[in-house]
Amino acid sequence: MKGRRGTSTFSVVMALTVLSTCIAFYDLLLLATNL
Amino acid sequence: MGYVRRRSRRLELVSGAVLASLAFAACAHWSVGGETVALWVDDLATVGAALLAAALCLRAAARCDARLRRFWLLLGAAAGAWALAEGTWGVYDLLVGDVPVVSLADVGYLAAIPLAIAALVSHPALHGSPERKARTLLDGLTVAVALLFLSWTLVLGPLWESADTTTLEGVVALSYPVGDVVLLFFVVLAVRGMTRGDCAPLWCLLGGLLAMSLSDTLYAYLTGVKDFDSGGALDAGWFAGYLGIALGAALAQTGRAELVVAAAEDPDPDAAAPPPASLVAPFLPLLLALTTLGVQVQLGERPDAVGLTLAFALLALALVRQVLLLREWSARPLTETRA
Repeated sequence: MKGRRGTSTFSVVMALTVLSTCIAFYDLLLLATNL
Repeated sequence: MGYVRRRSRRLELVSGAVLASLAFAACAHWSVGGETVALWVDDLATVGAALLAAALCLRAAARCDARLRRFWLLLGAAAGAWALAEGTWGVYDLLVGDVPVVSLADVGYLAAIPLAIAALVSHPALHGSPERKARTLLDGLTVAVALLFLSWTLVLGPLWESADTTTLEGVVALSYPVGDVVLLFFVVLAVRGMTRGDCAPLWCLLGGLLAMSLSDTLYAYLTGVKDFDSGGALDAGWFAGYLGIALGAALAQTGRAELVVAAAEDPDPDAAAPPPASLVAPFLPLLLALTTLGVQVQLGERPDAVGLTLAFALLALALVRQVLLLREWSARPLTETRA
């Protein structure tokens, strides 16, 4: 149970990390092309 | 059995508070019983909820251990200041018939914000374990910049443009969103610093403070852009906020008892590990701010100098934070899954 809990928390944090990194790069791209 | 009974009692209290808040919002929005009745119910119920929160915080301070006493005392003082402010607002609204833009009520509202912040700062959740301090500074900076960016883009920036900072009205109008950003910052840090165990009282409290600071920010926006009409559904945010604080204080007693029971029955070394919410908490303002930035640029709005500085600081912090998080986690999954 503990193993599964640790793995699922890891997956959520990884998913959020990837998501926010993608949005950050998208924002950078937008700022670079619009300013 | 005792644990089950406590849980069902807790569920009853939380459902009662949610239902009362929904009823309050409906009553305020549709002016149930006519405008005058709705106005009286709105103002009196808000004062009642703030007084209840103050009383329960002081009761919790009298009953809890020394570690949390200062927290409850400060929060009780904040709730007392809110109750005084709501009472003054009620007198203006119900008896005088008009609430000045800057009034004695603002003294109470503004005094409550630093008291609530001081309470959160004194909470043990903000004094995390040493091994988590490495990322704390970066997380704190990221959350602060993300919230500042959100506030600057949506509320503070437009207010800064329209408010006259040489007048008291302008300064008061700007004080609310600034205070709310700081309060929200500490709410996120408190969630981030939570440890496993009984978090329900803290969740109620933080949910209440969140509802209040969002209502406060909206209030600042509405008074800055157009005339605020007391008696609107927006007041439900304050009402729900006071009930959240009252609920947190009421549950704090049973919560402590449950923690003691749980620790005695199950000496789990994992109990001090961070719950998922504490890992996810710093992402929420970050994701909101990054999305807002994207939407703002996509809509063709050019961020101003302050917005741009905050945006670039946020992007840099976000990327550095992800690298650190990945490095930290790449060393952890094996031990975590084996534990």
